[in-house]
Amino acid sequence: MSNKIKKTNIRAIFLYLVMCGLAVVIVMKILFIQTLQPQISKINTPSFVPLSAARGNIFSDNGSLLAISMPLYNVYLDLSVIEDKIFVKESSSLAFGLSNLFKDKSSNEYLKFLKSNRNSKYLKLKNKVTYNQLKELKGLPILKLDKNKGGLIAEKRANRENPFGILAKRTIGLLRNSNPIGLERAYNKTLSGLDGLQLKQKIGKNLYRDEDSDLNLSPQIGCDIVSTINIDMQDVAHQALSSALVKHDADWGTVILMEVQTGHLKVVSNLKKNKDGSFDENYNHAIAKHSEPGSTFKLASILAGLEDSFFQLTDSIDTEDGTHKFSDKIMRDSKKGGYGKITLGQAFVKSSNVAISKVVNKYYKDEPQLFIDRIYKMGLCTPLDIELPYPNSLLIKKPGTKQWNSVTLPWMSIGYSLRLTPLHMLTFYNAIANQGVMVKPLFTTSVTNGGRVISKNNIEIINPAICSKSSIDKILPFLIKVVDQGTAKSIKNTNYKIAGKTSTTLLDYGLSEINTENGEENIKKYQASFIGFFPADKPKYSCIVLVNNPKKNGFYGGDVAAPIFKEISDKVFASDISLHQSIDNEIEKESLPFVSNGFSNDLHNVLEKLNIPFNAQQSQWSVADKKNNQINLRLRNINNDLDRNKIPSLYGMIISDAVFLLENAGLQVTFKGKGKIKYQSLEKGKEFDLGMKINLIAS
Amino acid sequence: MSKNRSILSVLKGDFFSKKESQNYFPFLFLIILLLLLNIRLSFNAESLLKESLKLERQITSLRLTYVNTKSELMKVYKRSEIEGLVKAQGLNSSNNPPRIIDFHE
Repeated sequence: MSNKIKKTNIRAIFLYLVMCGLAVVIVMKILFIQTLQPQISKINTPSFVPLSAARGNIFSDNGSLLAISMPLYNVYLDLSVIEDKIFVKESSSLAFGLSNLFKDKSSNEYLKFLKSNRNSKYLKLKNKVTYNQLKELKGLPILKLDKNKGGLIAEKRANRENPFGILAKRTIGLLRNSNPIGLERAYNKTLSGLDGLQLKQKIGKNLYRDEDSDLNLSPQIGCDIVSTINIDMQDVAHQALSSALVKHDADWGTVILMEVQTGHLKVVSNLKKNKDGSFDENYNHAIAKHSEPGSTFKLASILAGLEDSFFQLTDSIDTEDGTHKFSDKIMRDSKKGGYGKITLGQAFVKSSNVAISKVVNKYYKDEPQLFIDRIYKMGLCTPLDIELPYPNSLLIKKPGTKQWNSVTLPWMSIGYSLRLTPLHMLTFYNAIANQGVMVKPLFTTSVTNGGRVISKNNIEIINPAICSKSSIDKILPFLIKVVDQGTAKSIKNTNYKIAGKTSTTLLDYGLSEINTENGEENIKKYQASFIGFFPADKPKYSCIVLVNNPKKNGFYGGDVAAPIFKEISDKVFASDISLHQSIDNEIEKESLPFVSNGFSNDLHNVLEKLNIPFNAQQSQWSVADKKNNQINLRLRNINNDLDRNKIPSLYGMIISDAVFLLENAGLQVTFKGKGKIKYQSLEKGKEFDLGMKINLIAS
Repeated sequence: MSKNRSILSVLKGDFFSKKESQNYFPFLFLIILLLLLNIRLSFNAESLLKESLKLERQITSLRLTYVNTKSELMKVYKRSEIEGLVKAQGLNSSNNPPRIIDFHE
């Protein structure tokens, strides 16, 4: 018995010691891992993982997506993991699928590519693969097997997608480490949202469990931006501008379309022709290119004089022989020989440099600061405070400074010796269209989050009156005349009126003068532009078109820029339903029947029976017309004339009535045709005798 | 000696046969049951979490498909794209202004 107990004791002790030994080993291992091998110990330790907030989208004015976060994938193949049997059997099908999907190589080329890289472990298949393409890839033969057998490796990369490609690309912008641009830069904070933090515990391969922690922070999704850009108008402008750049072999061009009352920029198109003939938006000329505006500035010069009551548009100016010397420099008109003596209004319509510069120089020569002050009041001397950042190199020379000399004023009056951006000039013209109210150009209308409006970008008035309304009323007909009969008559149309001004600016004017003086051959470069608004009677849109250095098929603003303006305005006018009124009223007017001239009693009877409103003067015979939505029956002095032996006017009268009256008066009537009289052989007022012959022709 | 015996009795499970210990059996069973329940619930929660993560991945996948498809559709929605497609049929955008007819019932 005691032996048995003894044996049991030894076993128990042994087991006990083994257990203790194991426990010590385990504890030692834990301590070893915890202290000396953190790379292992920390694998399963809960840790805070940053959660990046989804970036907000940028929408157009009607909700089309202009910029959205959409990842792309760089796809690689590990062909070494594919079994030979599978590769031999299915590589042709895979090549066929790849060719169909990417459409960049034939299936034979893909097959050759796969076979020649059979043992490659990291073979680049394609960059920038979209998610939809990746899904299709995962369904192709071989690649549909799991990663260790199919060898498909997809590396995700962050991407900001602009679904409309280069349309308004520079305005939508780009977020990058150096020199971010556009709305992406201006609204980066709003679009970014706030990144979060989450404590996570690894629970399996690629599986993590969220753990509770007071330090957890949910990411806040970035807000969306609703821009003012109208993608349809932008597309129209893009097409019109790109065609014109090709036609005129120009270097670059820009178009801005603005809503007159709100300042919303519907189109901001900047195109530069690449060497290969393609176009790209790689500089925002619209807001950043400071250049001499040329003749479009003449509007400011004329308004300045009108505001100071120095001259009127009816004043006569002698354009001499088309040249005028200011100090040592000669001002020239584009028309050789000049326009002779013309009014200032005509000078504006014909864009006479000589006339405008002479008149401005005459009245402001002694007090040029007065002219500059006027320009300042029109908002052309102050940089625009717009949402998008842009380099400011606005230049308006000041009297009394080194930059100012005796010819600065006349040249400035025609748009030289100063530098402004296209957007600045358009904002000025927009103010004219808006009855003098200058509004700030806006790129966005609101900030939203999940469809809910967070903040609105309200209309901002820069200057409630850049000039008096009477001055605008005076100049407006001449802006319309520029299109109807002036330098932009090529774009006149019947559907609606356009008001505007052309400009053909000689680039590097100073340099050009120096070269001419030196007798060097000088290749002149021009910048053609047109700024206007439409419909002129009730302007809704203002637009500037600027084309730099056109080399073929003309270089004048009226030949190069104005047609682009018309192409855009025609399509905008035809597609903007708010520009058109219901034709109900017209139908009502047209619903009044045609009433011919005739016997008053008969007309009364018919109109009363048909319940047609009419207004009648007391007479036996009446002339009928339509006015104010009713029929007017006016007095016709047929009987009075016949009683005094005078031939009455019979035009428009029914022939049977006329024959009855004339024969009763003793005339011999011959006639041809039936219906209304369109010819009478004896004219109204002629005296007649009994038996005299009269011939009538009816339609 | 008494120490060895007591260890031995623990190892042998003698305390289970004592009457006082038997009174705690229901309590012990309850604890064992609760432990089993806890393990079961933990597994259940984990499988739910895995399911939830799987669904989240599906949502992400569907959202990406939506964004991708919408982006592709936006490209063909452009006026110039449509004009290009119908040009062969002799159709183009009209420059004639529309006539609006209001319908009154």
